[in-house]
Amino acid sequence: MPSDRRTFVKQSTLAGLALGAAGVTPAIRADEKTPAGQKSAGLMIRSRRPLDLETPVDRLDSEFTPNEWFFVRNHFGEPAVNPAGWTVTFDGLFENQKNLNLSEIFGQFVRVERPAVAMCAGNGRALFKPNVPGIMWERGAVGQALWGGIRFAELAKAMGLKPEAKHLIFETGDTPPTDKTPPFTRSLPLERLLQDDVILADRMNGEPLPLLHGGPLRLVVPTWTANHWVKWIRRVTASANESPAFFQQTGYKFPTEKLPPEVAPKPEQLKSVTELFVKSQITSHTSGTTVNAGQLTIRGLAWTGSGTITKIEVRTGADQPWQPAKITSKQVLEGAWVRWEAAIDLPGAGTWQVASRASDSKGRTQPDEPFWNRSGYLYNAIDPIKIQVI
Amino acid sequence: MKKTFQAILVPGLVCGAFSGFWKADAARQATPPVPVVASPPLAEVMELDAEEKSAFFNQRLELHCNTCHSREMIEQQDLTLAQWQAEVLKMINWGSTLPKDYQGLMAEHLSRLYPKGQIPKVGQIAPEVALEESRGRDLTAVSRDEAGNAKAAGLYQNQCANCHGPEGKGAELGIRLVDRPILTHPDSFAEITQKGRGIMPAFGQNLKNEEIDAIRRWLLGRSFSFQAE
Repeated sequence: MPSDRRTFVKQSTLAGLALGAAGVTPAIRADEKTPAGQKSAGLMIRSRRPLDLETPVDRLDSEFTPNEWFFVRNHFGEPAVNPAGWTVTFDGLFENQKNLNLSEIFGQFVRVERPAVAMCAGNGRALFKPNVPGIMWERGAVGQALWGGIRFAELAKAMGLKPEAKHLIFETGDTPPTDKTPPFTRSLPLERLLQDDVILADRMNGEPLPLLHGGPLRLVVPTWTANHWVKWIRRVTASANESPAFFQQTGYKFPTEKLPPEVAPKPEQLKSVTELFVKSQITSHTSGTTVNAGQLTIRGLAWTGSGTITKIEVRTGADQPWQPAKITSKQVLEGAWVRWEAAIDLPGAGTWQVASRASDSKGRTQPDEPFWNRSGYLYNAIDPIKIQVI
Repeated sequence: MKKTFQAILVPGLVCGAFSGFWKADAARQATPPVPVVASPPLAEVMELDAEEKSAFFNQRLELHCNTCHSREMIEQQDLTLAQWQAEVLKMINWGSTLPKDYQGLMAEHLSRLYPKGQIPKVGQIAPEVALEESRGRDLTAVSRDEAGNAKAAGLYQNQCANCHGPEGKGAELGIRLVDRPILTHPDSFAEITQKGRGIMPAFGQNLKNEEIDAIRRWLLGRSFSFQAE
């Protein structure tokens, strides 16, 4: 090779690497340690492109997670959206095969509002050992909003479902970058979609549904993981079968029973992740907080799949007894989280492993060990924080 | 090994030099630069020493992976070699331009690259910025200027369609543009077009800023909810 080409090649290499950061990247600052006594200043960037953001746990310490602090998760980036031109196609086993615009969808049914917890199926993935691939969510791929819209069942019934329809397949506006990349297509069984709690939402915490959260419209499926809360819906196909798409048949599956890491599950040993597992976390204090010896009031959240939270307990170390916490939410509603608080005694200097544990009305309790699975879904083991007493 | 190393880094860019040929039409467009597609044979890459191989595959991460997702997606993983092999193969099957015969070495590179046993520190984004992002921007900026659109369409066909397809829906080398988030981020669209990214060469010499933005708005107008209005 001639030497001038080598020089050119080297220069090009450096230029190419310097440009690597260009992209759809909003203002970002380096990670800074949050000063003692202050709350986190920003969302945690798990990926700049597509934009995946995690809520710091101390910003979850409220009944509703503000829209600007709500975690963001998508596979291919938010689509370019013009609400005035947005339509949804209804086809397949619908009697009425139509394109509806947003006013036709939202203008003809009773409006409803409902609080519900949206949690990414991979929330807590980073805590699994051995490690698994995927976005390394820790504790903040979860949030609760007041979702506003219409009951999905009313719309689906108005479009006329043929008796053989058993599933609805949702196509979304977030198109993948190449034709070889599978689109984020999901299907949900009609049996679940026609329940009263499922909302087709266009509002979030009293505001128009933000683009990053699925605007102009998304599904809200309380008690189910957020991969079912399909965003940017463009097409709904009624079908006798589940979608054959990658994200239905391969993605979001986990084993029916716990398998050792070295055992690859057979297809018949896998099922779709659907219902949330019972889970709680402390939100009033973050791990590493320093306090004076004595009594300390801690707060937190708890949620589950179907059913409701019935009991929260706390302890100050693995060798300490569990003691009851008090549910402080005015209402305990299926699909919503409850807030709780407890006064704990930290009598002496040292590190205290303070933990919470939730149980639900279906008799499920948070385990000591998580349900390890190869994709890192639904981590819900007891998760102590360290409180330093001086 | 230095000779080989220097010789095999991004030879495709050499082909990307501008031809200097200018068309006589009003747009006066140069022939578009050529994407970085040349890849040295695996046998040559295998002869590199450890340090060179590491530099080579770091560059390949930028060329072939950074087009669809930013680097954090990779840096946060803490995986075994077998897990990396599965991930690299999945991305090749999903349309990554990484040559298939590099997959084994790339997986080895990735399994060596990142520290084990700790969650990497992440950056932060201010909530007001997240909110602004979340609300979306510039969503009504579709050009209604038919003459301007016709010109933008001509520029697109001349400069972009070879890789991104005649309708902006992507092709073998270039990713889909229609409907994609980049269309609502004018600054990023301009920066990537001017300076290039991954295997995409720089078009700063070929397209003026206003031409780049006209192409962006033309593509936005071809996106799903902008056509239907």
